[in-house]
Amino acid sequence: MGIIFSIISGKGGVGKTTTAANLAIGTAMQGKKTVVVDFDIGQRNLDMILGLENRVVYDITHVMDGDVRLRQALIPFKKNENLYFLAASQTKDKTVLNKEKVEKVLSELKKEFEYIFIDAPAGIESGFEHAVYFADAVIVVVNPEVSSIRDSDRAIGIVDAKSKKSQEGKRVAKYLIINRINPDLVQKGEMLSSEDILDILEIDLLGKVPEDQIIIEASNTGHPVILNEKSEAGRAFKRISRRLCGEEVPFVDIESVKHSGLLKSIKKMFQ
Amino acid sequence: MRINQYSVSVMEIMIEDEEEFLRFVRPKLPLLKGYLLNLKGDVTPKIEDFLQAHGLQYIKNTEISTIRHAKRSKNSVEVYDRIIRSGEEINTHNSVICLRKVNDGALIRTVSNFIAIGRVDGTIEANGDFLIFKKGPKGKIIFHNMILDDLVEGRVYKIHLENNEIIIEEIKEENGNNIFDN
Ligand SMILES: Nc1ncnc2c1ncn2[C@@H]1O[C@H](COP(=O)(O)OP(=O)(O)OP(=O)(O)O)[C@@H](O)[C@H]1O
Ligand SMILES: [Mg+2]
Repeated sequence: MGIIFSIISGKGGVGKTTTAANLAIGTAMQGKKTVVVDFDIGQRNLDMILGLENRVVYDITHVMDGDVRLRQALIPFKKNENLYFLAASQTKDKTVLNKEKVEKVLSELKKEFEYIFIDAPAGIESGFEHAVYFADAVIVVVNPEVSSIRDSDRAIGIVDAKSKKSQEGKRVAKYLIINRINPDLVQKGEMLSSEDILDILEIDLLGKVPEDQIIIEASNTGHPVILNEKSEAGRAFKRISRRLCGEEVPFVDIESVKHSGLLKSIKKMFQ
Repeated sequence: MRINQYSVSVMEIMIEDEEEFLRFVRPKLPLLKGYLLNLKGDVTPKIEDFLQAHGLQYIKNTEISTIRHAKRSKNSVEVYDRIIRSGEEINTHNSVICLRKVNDGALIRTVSNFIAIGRVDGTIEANGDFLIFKKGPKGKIIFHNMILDDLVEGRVYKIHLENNEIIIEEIKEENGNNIFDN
């Protein structure tokens, strides 16, 4: 039986879809049979990030409505045979979701795959609730800013109140990813530090991902950064994926500013 | 004849200095709209213009006879052993004890007492006999309709009523440490 990870944030645009794509590739690279499901019905994005937009014929709503079998809608990821992708509908909206249909699709996926990532929509509306209802664990993505933290705090509260596991008195595991960390701004005190964020949310830290220009290029080319050795964010996603697969991977300090020795001494001269 | 009966929350303010009053009111405009201000002391034209421009309701130098409510029957206690997170609202007649934090964006409203073991960054509105909590940087505390906004972050307070007056005490250990720190 697979584990369902829902990737949530509360606030929009913080990096859920980017995280979903990279972690799914990451666990597939670790040899886990993985599927990543776009639950952002009406605003699908994940197909583009994965470079699969030309391959989408059937999406999750077709499966839920019984138009096609799950197998026909699952799209293989060319760059890794362990990974499959299930697209969201771009034409319908989130009202097509209902608990029974969602449960049916997810329980089928649970039989086939070890890791199931759900890319949840922003906000805390019904689409979000469907995306977290059957979650075994949630991965909360935040940016180091107060509005993102407060919105994610709210989303976590809803997971604890409304998900199926919580309602059965069980615990939904909750992990934190801090995305778009900019060391310069952290040092200047203009960005919340990881300690501040963990102090507010009190959930387990899964990893920190730096701000990385390569991510933006990657989104446009459909070649996620985890496949790019040169990308610092890509390496961060790789570490996180290994942690998800049960490996003990030490946390790397990405919050301190790194100056080369020469640059440092030149800077000193001007202080 | 038609009669409507309302309860209004009156905030009584003794004005000693025009500027000081405006400084107090300005940041709280949205909150103060829920109150009828009973202004005492020197209500200058500038103050009146300001209040009218912002749509605040007020009366001047009026003695209001209040009916003291009979002592409440003993309420019970609600204990929350989880973080009260942003967006959660608790409305209750019971006393509330939070064993963990109350985060920014959470609201707890009780007609009774409130105790938090963790830091309070949310909004607490209580009308009981006392409150005990540690003030976080964002905590907003309203006790018997008084906004207590000069509390210092990181300190533990006991706030209670004594002869209709609000008494604010800081709680410290004998060695001067904050009691909830260890
Ligand atoms: N670490 C990063 N460094 C630089 N850019 C990033 C980083 N993470 C995400 N981005 C960029 O931020 C934007 C939003 O990312 P993404 O679409 O993953 O967010 P989202 O949370 O899924 O948004 P939505 O709520 O709209 O679904 C994208 O343009 C993405 O390229
Ligand atoms: Mg998205």
